[in-house]
Amino acid sequence: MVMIVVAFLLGSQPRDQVRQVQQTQEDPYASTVTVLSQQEHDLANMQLASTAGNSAVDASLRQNLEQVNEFIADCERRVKEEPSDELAREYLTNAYQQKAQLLSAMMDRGGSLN
Amino acid sequence: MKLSTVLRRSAILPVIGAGVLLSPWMAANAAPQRVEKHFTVKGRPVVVIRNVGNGRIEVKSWKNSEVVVTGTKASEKIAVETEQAGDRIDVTSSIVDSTANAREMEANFQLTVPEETELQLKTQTGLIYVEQVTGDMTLDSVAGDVHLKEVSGYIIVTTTGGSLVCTQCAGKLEFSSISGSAQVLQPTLSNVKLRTMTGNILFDGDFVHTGLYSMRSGKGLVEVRFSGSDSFDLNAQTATGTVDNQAAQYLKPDSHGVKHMASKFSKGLFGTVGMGFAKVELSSYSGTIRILKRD
Repeated sequence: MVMIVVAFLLGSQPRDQVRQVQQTQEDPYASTVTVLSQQEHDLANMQLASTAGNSAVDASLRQNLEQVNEFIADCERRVKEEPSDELAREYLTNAYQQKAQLLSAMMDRGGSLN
Repeated sequence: MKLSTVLRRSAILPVIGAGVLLSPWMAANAAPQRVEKHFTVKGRPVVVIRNVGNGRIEVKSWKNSEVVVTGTKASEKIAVETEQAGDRIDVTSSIVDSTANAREMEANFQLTVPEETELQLKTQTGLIYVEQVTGDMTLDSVAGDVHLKEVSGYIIVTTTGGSLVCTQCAGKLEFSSISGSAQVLQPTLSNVKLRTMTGNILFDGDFVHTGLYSMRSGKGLVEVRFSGSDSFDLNAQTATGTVDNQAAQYLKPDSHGVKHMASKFSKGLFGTVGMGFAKVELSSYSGTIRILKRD
């Protein structure tokens, strides 16, 4: 579900619109970030309520989520400094998509183990 | 038992007489159990393994029209079912007791399949190893590595943290990971798409004429080792990383009349090796892109 929402949000920003948003100095990724943050918050609550989640798999998923968040923070800094850096934007967009996929996998796993 | 399992069983059981065989692995004690199943097939089989537990999946081939599944499971807290419907063979593990710890959730599988077989394999941790199989394959792992040797087909590998080593692979290859690395050695691949966020990428082999090769790493090293007889157009770009060109003497300006330029925000390297028959695109956000000729 989160993947569909993020894909929609990322896909519904045509270039013209992105440029327009840039001009008005708004953050075109704001809605995506909001959805992902909410999902991450829900996941944290789910993990707190669960007795599972201590396996090597869960540790790996959490570790990778940290790496994704670090990478996103890095790309966000770059995009903020250089809003016209297309390559950085591309990596940021892909990182959001990967985060959405990872959160979905973690939610599914949490659900199947509970 | 989960509802989905009940539903699946209720849908399957009435048609057992029509050629579907469903077989749960039962055992009386809690010691590790080993089971071997034989499935006769007519054409090119499709083998699906969905391992929700941890464990290794190993696939090798033979010339017989038979699929042999050998498995071990660590405890009664994990159930394994096999099912055959024509040439489709499904092997599924499921957790029957949610108190199971990681060790009790372990299930390992060894398969022997006809040389031409399609595979869909999914596991959590533990190695996925496939050798000498021809056919499309989709391989998923969270933390386990994937090792492929002499396989061909349309190969799709997805991991979260597991790495890929693909030796003498042919056909098309897609790899996607967050922290896993990819090594592609001595390939005969005509289409390659490798994506990792923090892992490294190594491509050591020839580029097939008209082949398309795209390799991207967010933070890792992207290294390509080509041979003197290769022929490809190169487009390498990084946002904040570096391009280490150790093959300057082989790289000529693009001979096809298209003038490439890196944007003012990125560093780029463009050129042609040989006649430029294949297309190679390398990208990294903050890592290093290295291009060198093999000795």
